[in-house]
Amino acid sequence: MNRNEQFSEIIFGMTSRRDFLKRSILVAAVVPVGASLLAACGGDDDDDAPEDSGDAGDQESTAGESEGDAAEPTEEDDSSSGEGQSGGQIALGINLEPDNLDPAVTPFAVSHTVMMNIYDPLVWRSVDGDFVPGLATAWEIADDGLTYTFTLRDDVTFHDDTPFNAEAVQKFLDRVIDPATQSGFAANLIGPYDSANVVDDYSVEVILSAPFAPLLDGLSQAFLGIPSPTAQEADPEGFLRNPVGTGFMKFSEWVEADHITLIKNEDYNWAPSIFNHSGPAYLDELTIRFFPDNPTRLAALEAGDVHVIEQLPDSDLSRMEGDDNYSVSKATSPGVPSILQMSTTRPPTDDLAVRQAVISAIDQETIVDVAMFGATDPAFGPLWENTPSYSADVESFYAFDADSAAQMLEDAGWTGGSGDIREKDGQTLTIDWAITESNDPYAELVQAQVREVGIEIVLQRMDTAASFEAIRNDEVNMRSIGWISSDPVILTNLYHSKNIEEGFGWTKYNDPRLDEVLDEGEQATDPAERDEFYGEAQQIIMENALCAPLFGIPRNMAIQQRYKDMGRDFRTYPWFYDTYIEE
Amino acid sequence: MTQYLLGRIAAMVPVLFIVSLIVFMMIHLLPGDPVEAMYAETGTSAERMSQIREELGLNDPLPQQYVRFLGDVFTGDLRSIRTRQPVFDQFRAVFPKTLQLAFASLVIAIAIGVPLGMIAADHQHSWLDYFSMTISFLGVSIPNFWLALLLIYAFAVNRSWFPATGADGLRALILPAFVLAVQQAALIARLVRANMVEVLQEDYIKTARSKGLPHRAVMWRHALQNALLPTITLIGINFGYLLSGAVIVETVFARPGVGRLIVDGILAKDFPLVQGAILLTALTYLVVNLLTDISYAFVDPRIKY
Repeated sequence: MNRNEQFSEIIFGMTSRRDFLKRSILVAAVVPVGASLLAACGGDDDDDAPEDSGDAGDQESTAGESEGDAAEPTEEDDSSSGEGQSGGQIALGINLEPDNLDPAVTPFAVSHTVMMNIYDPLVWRSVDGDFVPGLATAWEIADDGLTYTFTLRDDVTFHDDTPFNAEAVQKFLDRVIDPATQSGFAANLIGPYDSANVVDDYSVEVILSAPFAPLLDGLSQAFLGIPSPTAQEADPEGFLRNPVGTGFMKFSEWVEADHITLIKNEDYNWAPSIFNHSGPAYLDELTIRFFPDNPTRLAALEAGDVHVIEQLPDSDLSRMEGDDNYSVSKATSPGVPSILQMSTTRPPTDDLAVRQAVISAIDQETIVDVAMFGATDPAFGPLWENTPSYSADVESFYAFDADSAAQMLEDAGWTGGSGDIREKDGQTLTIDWAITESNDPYAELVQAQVREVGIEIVLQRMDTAASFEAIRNDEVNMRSIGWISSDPVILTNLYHSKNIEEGFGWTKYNDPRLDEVLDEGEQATDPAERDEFYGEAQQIIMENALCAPLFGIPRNMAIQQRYKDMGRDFRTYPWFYDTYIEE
Repeated sequence: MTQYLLGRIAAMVPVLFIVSLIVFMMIHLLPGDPVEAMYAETGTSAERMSQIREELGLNDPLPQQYVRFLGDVFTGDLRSIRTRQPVFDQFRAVFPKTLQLAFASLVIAIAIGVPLGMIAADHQHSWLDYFSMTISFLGVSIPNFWLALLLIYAFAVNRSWFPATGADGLRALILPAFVLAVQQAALIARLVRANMVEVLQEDYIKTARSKGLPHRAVMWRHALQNALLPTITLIGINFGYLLSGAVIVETVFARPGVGRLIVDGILAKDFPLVQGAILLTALTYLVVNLLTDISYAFVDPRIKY
């Protein structure tokens, strides 16, 4: 599911019309507007513009630039990206207001974007996916995979001057699994957490009730960044919107429905080795503003209300890439790409041949080029290609081939003349798809593509919450989903039979072998073993055609040219620690 | 007057009670579950979600949930499921912004609409009349999200006269207030014109004219004052509507407001938030209505309470 979805659905059915209108305005208005902007910037920085925009167009280079040498503990090589200048502020436009900034509580990606400036994790993940010391300088995993011993830094203090120590870690993790906390996301990241033992002030043992391979990945996310126990205990409810961590930015203010302001933590001296510099951040202030409406977010950037935006609207990608005032950072998040989950219990998608034909009949390339304006790339399986344990085998399963799709249906007894909707035993080949606003750009294209092989898709528009209920109750055959995740364990939420009843197991596919490999993958600590289990899981999912993969989730950003060294972490969240303003 | 006021205020209680019951039933009848809507963005397990549902009491029978809701309203402990903030605090944070926007747009609407309607009535069936009424027709028919984007690109992106978005200060208020005012102004102009045309036929206007009163005095003092009563009703209703109905403009201008709070709440199936915010909106609506009725007495000396 797209993160824009819930908020942009505010306008219900009107949004698509509005988007259309907006585009027509742009055609009318942008020609003169854009021309004058270009003229203005041409006069300003004529000479350095070409090389800058060349950098930005390169897919991975913008993110890779700040990575440094992740494996080497020594840092401070300032050969490539120059020393940043201190000072200045940056305003970031995001698409949703976070619910709160207590890592134990919030499940939202936008909260993560904000929290990663306020909190430090025990371990960091470099852009290559390596685990790098953070608040923990070292860690040891017992052979049975049940005990993790973390050695902690002894020179870290929270923004409220509380010293960071083993007790802070223990209190936080205990709070995460306390049912009264109602943690839905962080609690999932520490899985079978049992307890934590304070060995001494700067050493803590985390005890699990079962092996859980994704633990380090979970601990590397801001959702498990360590908050100040003093501040949280003093006012648990106030803490939700008054967060205190150890990060390079301190929380300053939150104006409901408008913005959050963070200010530089002058005492910050524990940056991980993955960054270009150490010590305090360069920027004095980071303001985060919320723009649920796509055209508005872009207009806010162009009007100078903000300096950088997340979720650059796909339709404006190439225009912004061509604009010398901005650099565009393209990225696709790891995890589950945009896929169509298909019910295996509601006719006609209960028929394997039908599901397989749907996948074969969908031409992802065209969808990406035409409907997504080239803002992303085609997906071929339930995991995006940069997710750990991604199996490239999925790519060969169902290449787009309308003829073979038609043949599959023919063989399975779904017949009909050319151009007709196929039938079998008096039942027409009609598939119901619960669509929401996020599907608008491509839904009709998919519908037209599968119509070519004689399958009719009926688009049923509903609001997001209603569509979940519809697919779970088998009132429709398909619904799209897509999740950011840096560990393949995410597949469990979608395909393990324990999540059919009340969770996101919409396919209702119940296969003991699939459950088994998903469980084994979760427990195996050896990466090669995990690759094997998750490889098999991906194979089972595609063999049984449980999902029709569409494309990677675009996480493109546009940044004012004078802001330099804005990085992206492994999960494509923006990194502002190294960011500075070039005067 | 005091007795009248007390009576009116007492009558609000049953209205609010009925509103709370209807809103509760409607939001619970809609398909969808708040916990699922919340965790669908990043994904979690069925086990976690059912645990949270249990903690929130979403599995309890509806009458029990309704009683708990009423209890939370009275103890002031009604909290949003999504943000876990007190609903009253969230409402209070955005309400002043909504009030500003509603008030500013009404001022602009009156400033445009009343003179436009008067000119049209004064020059009935002349080109001025047709011109004003065409403008007003346009005002009613222009979709406000379209106008909003057009103005943003014209006056915030192309020329940075105003910020494109936000609610920071007076400059940020002008564009959204104007967009909202356009439709109101058009309605007011049409209503003022119709009433003025009628009033201008009245005998007392002829009397005033024959007394030799200047045209301006006749128009403003005698005609307008009498033509204004239905307009005040319209303004009152519109003001009430603007307190929660400015969602689209609030969204396009990324402005905090009550309308957005409620619509976001509905989409997230955030039951306590929606129920609480609508209850508070209903209350403000009732108060605005009361104020409108009281203002009649000031405009028309014949009306006394």
